[in-house]
Amino acid sequence: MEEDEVQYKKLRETLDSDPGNASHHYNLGVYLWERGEKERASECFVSSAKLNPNNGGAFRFLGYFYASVDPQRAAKCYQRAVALSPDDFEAGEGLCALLDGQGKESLEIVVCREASERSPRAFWAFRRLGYLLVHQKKWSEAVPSLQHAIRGYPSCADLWEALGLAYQKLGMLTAAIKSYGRAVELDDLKVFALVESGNIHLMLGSFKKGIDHFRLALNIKPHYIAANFGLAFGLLAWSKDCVNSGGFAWAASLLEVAYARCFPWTQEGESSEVNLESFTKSIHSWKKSRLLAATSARQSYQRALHLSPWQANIYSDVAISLDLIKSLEEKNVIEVGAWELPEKMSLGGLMLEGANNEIWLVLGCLSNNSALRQHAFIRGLQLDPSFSLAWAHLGKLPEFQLGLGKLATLSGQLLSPQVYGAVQQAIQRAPNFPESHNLRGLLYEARSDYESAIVSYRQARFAISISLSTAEKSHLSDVSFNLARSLCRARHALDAVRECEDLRNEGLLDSKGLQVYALALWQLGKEGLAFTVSKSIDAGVSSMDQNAGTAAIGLICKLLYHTSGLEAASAYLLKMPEEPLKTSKLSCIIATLSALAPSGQLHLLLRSSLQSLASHEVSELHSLVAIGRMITHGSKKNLAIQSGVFYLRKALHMYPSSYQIRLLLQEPWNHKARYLLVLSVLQRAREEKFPHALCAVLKRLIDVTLSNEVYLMNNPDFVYQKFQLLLCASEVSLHLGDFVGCVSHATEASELHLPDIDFFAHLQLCRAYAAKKDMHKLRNECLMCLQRKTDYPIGAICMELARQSLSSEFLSLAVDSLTKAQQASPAPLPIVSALLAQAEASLGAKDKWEENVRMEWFSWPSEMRPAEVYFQMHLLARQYKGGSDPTPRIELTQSPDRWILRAIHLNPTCLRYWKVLQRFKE
Amino acid sequence: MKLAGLKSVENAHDESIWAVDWVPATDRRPALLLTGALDETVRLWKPDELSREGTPLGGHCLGVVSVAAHPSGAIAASASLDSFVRVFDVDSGATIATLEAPPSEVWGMRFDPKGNTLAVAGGGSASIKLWDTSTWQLIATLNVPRPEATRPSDKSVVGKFVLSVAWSPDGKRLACGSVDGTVSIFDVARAKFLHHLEGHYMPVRSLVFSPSDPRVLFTASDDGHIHIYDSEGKSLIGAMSGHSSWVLCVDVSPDGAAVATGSSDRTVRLWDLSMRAAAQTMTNHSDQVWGVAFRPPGGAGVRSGRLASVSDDKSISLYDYS
Repeated sequence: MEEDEVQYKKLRETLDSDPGNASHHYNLGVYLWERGEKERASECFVSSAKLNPNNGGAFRFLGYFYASVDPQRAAKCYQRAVALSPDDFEAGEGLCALLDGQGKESLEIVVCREASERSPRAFWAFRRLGYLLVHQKKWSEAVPSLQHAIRGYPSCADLWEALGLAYQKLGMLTAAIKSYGRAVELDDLKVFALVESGNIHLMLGSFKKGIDHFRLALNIKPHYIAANFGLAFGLLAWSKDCVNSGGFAWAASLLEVAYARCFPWTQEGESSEVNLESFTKSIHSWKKSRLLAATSARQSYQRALHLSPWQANIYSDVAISLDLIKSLEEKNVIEVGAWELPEKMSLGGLMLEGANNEIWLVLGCLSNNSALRQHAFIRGLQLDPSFSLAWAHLGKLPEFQLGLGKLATLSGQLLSPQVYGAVQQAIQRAPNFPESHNLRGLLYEARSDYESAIVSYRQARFAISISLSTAEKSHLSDVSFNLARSLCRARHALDAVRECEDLRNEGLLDSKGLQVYALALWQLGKEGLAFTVSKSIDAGVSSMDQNAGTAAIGLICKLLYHTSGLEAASAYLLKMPEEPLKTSKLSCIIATLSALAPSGQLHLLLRSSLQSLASHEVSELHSLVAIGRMITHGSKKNLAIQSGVFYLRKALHMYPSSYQIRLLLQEPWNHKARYLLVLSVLQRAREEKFPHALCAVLKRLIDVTLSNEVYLMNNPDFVYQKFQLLLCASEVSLHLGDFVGCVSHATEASELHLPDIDFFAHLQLCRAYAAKKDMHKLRNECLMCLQRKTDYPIGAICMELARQSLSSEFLSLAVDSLTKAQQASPAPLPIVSALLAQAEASLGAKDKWEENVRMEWFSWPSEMRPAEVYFQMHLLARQYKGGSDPTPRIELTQSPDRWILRAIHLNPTCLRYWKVLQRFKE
Repeated sequence: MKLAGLKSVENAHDESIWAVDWVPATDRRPALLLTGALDETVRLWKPDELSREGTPLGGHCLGVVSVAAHPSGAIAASASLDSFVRVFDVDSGATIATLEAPPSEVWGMRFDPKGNTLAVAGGGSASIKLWDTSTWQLIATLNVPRPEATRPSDKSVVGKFVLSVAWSPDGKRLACGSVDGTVSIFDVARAKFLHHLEGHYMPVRSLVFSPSDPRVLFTASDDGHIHIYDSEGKSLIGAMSGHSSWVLCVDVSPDGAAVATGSSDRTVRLWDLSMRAAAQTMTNHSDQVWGVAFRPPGGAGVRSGRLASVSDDKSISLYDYS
């Protein structure tokens, strides 16, 4: 007290000594203010402010003083104080609180804005401004203010929370989550932040995190409705998500959690231990409360509807509540023909607002009628193709999935994975539909997984027997038939026969079933029985439609052929009426048979059916006919006829230029066509590297062609053709390994004495002898070739010859011809250089060898150089002894062992490279 | 002219009561009060003591939005939100006919003064449907013409959603009120639209012709006003204001001297037509008043006027009108 007095006196004295100094007044004022003598203090402040109107502090204190007495004046004082020093947060807060109390929000914003513009350190202004803007929902403006304020008060949880809210409203969800997270870190009782971030997580689809947030919030405030709601919603959404992704069991367990957890919270307010009994009880009462809620919802919606009957969405709301009640009451009264009430109400909404896709969606969800459902969803999608909910619901309809499956069956796209997935899901969702199992069976069958197909069909049959409706019974025969078929395909002939017999006993075995039956019997080896069955099929053929009839006839023919032989089959076909035979499939059979068993009647049949067929189907048939001709006319040799037919058919089927075949067929006497055919088939054979089958076919074709008498004439054209044909024949023989034939053909060709081209005959002979390893004759022929003095590069043969006979004479010849070839060709020929290099090397000309190897390297395109070239480069690189040659050499770009490694890398099967490498390593 | 409260029944229905009408007296019984409510039932009440007559009549799947009694007093009709109109025998409660309409296409109903036709406000169909009361067949549809401004592609019928319907006392004219506030007048004999009456700008939920002057039509609208129109001359004769919220229902006294209205402001008002001003305000209801109905004259020993009102507060009130 004493001290105070001393202090006061001191201040007083200083003031008295210098009454014109404002700060003295101010100091005294502050002292008095602290002592609580506000009246006197204010006087001091007033005089201080008068003396020095730039002292903000005095105005601030005056503001404090007037705040309770005269708000108007207080505001003015605060304003002055803030204007003098915008950083003065006390004055600022005081002013704002004052304005806030008077409800002058806009004025408050102006003050804060002014202060914040005048000083970047006026954090109080930024904070206030941020809050105010958030309050006014000016989110984008609020964000910078809040950010700035946070710089001043980084540990203010409220600021972080507000910033989070602003971000959230601006749609910057991740930023919002971060801000909320910071707020919670600073103050873990921030329920709002927890709930909102939970909501954001739910919105982003991360249900787990959202639920965690809600749980935290509920731990703080167990009765917070928003959190309870959010938690329930989150669990529901999560479980929905699980359902969508197929995890039904998971979803169910989640929902149980939702029931068990939400119910005690919302109803009892305490989380009790959940055992099974209390759980079921709680679910029961939960359901009851749900029902009550739904009923009251229905009443409220009806009230709303009564008030504004023109609002379409209320109709759909009523509909939804009705549906909810119905599902909660678990009544399944289905009135056929009548509109279900929920349906009707949503239709009411649609009548008022037909273009509202959401109401369509509601209708789709509520309707019991699958067709209506589908229509509603599709309509909703028409209105808004990006309406994902409708897509989802549409995709989830088991009926729809089944429909998809059926469509796929009809359009033959059973193998597509989409269909597979859809049908699998349909089974999960509607295991009581036999159709879904049946479709799955079909799917498996299409994938050749007959065992699984059998299982599926059996399941389908069980499903039918469970469902008691009579309409399904007709299905039964279909499913059984499918079952029998896949049993048959899976080689369970015995089971298949049993199935068929069951069907027959029930009188449900139709013609298709009979076919399967016959096939199964035949597989079992009971040919007699199969035969009788096929007879009963035969009896029904006339009544079948065309496709089925064709299949039946085909099957019978096949059976007959295998059981009774060729004659019986053709006899059967001849007995048939002509009309059904005029299809491409049967014509094929006829053609094959006629080829096998030459008989005039079958030919007649064939001709008539050929005339009636469309052109695109004809080419295969023509080829068949051609073989038939060939076999009947030309080849009297002891070939395995059947395999020949098979080969030719296959070859010609692959062969696209059916033009010649057709020509051949239309003008069988046209030798030219035949000649062209031979040439094109040969070309084809060459492209395919002379497959054995094709060669055999070709050989017979050539034989037939050559047997034509025109080739006996001396017309130069024909002679030329004959020459060609003979060469072809010799070539084919060569590839077939028939050296004698090859030589004889070639010799024959060379005897035709065509001066310009008989070189080729000799060349061919060379090749033949080379293949036969008949050195002597080869040598002669080679000389003959060389005598022809043509520019054709036969150096390779000479090389071969030289190697075989170790004669340097041929080597030089080879070098000559190879060089010629190299010069003659405009582009570098790959192999030629290599051969030349080899020849030169053998002759000992090292330089030329090097040059040629290098040339070889460059003559290959870089992406397809063979391993041998790399190997050669290695040799080249290795023998290089570091000369002074300044020109860069390709082989020196890498070390010799690198070259080897590359060669091995390209062709690891060549032992030679490995050996060289080994030597290297040693 | 004055109203005096006679009797009130609390919890007359389980839920909000939305519709009320008087069933005229027959030889065997006096007039009865008919009410329909959100609880999906229709109930009958004896006048003055307001005791229940018979058991509640069910047969609706959603709330009952309107009831109408045949002038003979023998039959009545009730319509619910699920767009079914149930016609029943008043004394036995037996269903006579069920008239189904597409959803949202049934709202207010009235029998014509002779009792040959039932007129149903067709809600979303923007029309009045006329049903023959002997065969219960649909005999005519009177369409409210759409304004030219709306494009044909604009399928929205919301603007012309028809809420209410009224017959002229001679049975020659029909009036209907729509959500957009227009009132349409039809010539019944020719089934022809005559003209619109304009002036309201919010839904017209109730309208009634004056019994004393067939040209005069009273309308109640959500805009808070009661209009008096010359229905033939297409002109607004007068307007009465006073309700502080939507005017939900209107009825005219049998002598044509007074009009009673019920409103969302929870009051029932009696209007003196000679003064064109509110004569009395009843505040006994605690929620919005959905229906008011004057008892028609006739019946043995009945001299005094009666007014009934029903409300969302589930109560029925009966007043003496003199």
